[in-house]
Amino acid sequence: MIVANAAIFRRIAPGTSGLRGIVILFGLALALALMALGSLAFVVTEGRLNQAVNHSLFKRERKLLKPTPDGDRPTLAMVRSRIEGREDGRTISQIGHRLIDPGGRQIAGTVVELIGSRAVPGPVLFKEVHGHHLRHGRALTVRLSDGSRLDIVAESELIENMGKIIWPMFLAMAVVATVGGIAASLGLSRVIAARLSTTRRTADAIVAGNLKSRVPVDSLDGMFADQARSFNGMLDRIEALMLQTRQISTDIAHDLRTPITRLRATLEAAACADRPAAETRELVDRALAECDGVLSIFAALLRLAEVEAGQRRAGLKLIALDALVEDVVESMEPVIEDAGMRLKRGQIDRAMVLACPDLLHQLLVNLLENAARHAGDGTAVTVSVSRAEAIGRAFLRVADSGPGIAAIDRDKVRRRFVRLDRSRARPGNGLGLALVDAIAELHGGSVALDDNHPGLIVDVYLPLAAAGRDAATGPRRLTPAAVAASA
Amino acid sequence: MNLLVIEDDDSIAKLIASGLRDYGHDATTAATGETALARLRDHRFDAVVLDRMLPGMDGIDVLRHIRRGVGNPPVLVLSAMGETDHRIEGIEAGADDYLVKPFDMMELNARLNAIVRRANRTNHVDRIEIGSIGINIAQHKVFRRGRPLHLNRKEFGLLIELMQHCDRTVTRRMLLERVWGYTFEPGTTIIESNMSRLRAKLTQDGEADPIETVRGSGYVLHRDRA
Repeated sequence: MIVANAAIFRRIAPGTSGLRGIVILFGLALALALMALGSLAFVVTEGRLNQAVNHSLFKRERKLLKPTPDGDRPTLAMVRSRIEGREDGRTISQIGHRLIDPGGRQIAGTVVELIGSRAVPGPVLFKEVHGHHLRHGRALTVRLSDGSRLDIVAESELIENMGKIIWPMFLAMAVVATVGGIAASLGLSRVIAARLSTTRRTADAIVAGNLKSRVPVDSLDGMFADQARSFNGMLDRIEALMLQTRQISTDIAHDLRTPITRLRATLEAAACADRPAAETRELVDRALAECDGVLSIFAALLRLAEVEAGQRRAGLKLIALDALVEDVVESMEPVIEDAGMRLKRGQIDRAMVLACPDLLHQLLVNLLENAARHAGDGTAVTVSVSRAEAIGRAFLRVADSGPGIAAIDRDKVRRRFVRLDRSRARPGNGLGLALVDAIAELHGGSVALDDNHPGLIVDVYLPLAAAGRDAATGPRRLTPAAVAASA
Repeated sequence: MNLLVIEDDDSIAKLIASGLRDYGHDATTAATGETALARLRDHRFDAVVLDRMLPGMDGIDVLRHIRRGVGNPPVLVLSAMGETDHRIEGIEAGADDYLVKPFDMMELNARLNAIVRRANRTNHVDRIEIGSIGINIAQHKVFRRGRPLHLNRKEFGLLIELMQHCDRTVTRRMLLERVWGYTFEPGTTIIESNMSRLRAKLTQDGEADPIETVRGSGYVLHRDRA
């Protein structure tokens, strides 16, 4: 039960437990950094203060041993009187002295005991006349030429006190920083976890089957909002694909049910024993035609799947689109004529494209077949090829003068199995334009439908091969890439 | 013709064999590649119908063995896989023709006739003459009763195919593959419309039409009407 509860808790508040270790580490790192910074500040400050004290020691030395106006060294008596003159300002200067004559007797100054003094300024212990214990200071010792000795001592209480104050202060700061750092990190991790949990809840809802669920973007900001938008975009795409897949399965089922129902009825009629042989034969022929119809839907679907899988992309060749168009036009001219229409050649420019010839033939045959089926008696269909050099595209146009397709239906007719009401009675499986679209896409191209006032314009844009652009202006040069691709 | 049908599905094998017998051929069946190769060692066959997907030894492997063996009969590969890659693989392995399932017996028979005829044709022909129709392939010229006819490339291609297989049915699928080079089947009357133009040109001066439409499957050019 406890274990289960723990598991439930983790499910409700995931992420924060994983962040706990990071939070403590973060706090410790912050404290350590602060300690290091404090030590550095202390060392630097101490050095600066010592320098300042040294400077005042040298200055006092220069003043005490200042030569006479004649340029001679001051006598011991002069030094002594200078010291005594200074001793009055003792409380201000915080510098003490000790002057010892060559006989070893102290003849001036308030410092009575001095340990550790040398010829360069350094830390010492000293005691003054009225002092009861040794104190820390910095001192400088000068040997005078007559054998006497001058000690100059400065208090370093300030530095000492600074040390006493600064370390507890840094410790306090470190503690505050650690606690504060941990608290801030915990807060941050909670904020992040809360933001992430909205995404997680959405993902869970989708796993549970609610495909419409999306991450609420309004409550989020900055990168979380961006991330949520990307996530939602991905979900939209997945949902669209799933719907499409579902739609395709439904469409296939619907589209096959009609011919299979007819097939069943035909076979049932043919199975009737007392029917004349000739009639039975005719029914069997009709059943075979129905089978062929079903098989042709499968063939088209498989072809579409093959094209969409992009298997042919490896076998693309450098081909002249204009020559291909001439070839198809020659084949389709009788078909269009038999449909009571005219097939006209528009402007046909030279255009080289990298393509699968079989698929491009099918693309154009499909477009012309569509025209033959839907444009109607007495109309004309024009095929043209031109180059749009600026965008590096060849474009193949099939334009008829039939009834055309209303603007709102133009996107619809490109989907599989979509057949507009007025064309339902005519042959066709509703896969032609979907295949044209897929073939154009395989070649890196696109298809646009437009109004021919009256009629339908289908424009197929295909990328011009590099050699195609050269072919218009001079002798054809093949780029190595084009040669490799066509080989 | 004496034919060997290599097909692992028993009911399909029987349907193919009985269908071929209806067309007057002798048909032997083999369910595996190994059995088939054993039969090929012991008997002489005019052609082989080979299913691509066989248990154990794959159809393509069987094909390679046949190509290395003695006799080396023409082979028609049957396959449920119609994708171009598979087709190319079959042709490259040495198949003389490739037929995608489902198919009808007329189609299979016509294609077997075609590959056997092609295998027996030793030298390349440049001129064909049947009855009053003469054709010079290299020069792209056609005459009927000595009078030149102006055929476009497709009409010319259709006529060559029909003349090369004269008195035999040439199916729509065969014509699409050989004249147009298409691996897809157009939804409209591309063959019919082009064929009607060819027939109109062949009969423009009131001559007999040598071509007969075989309902539902293809065309025959009759020698006695040419």
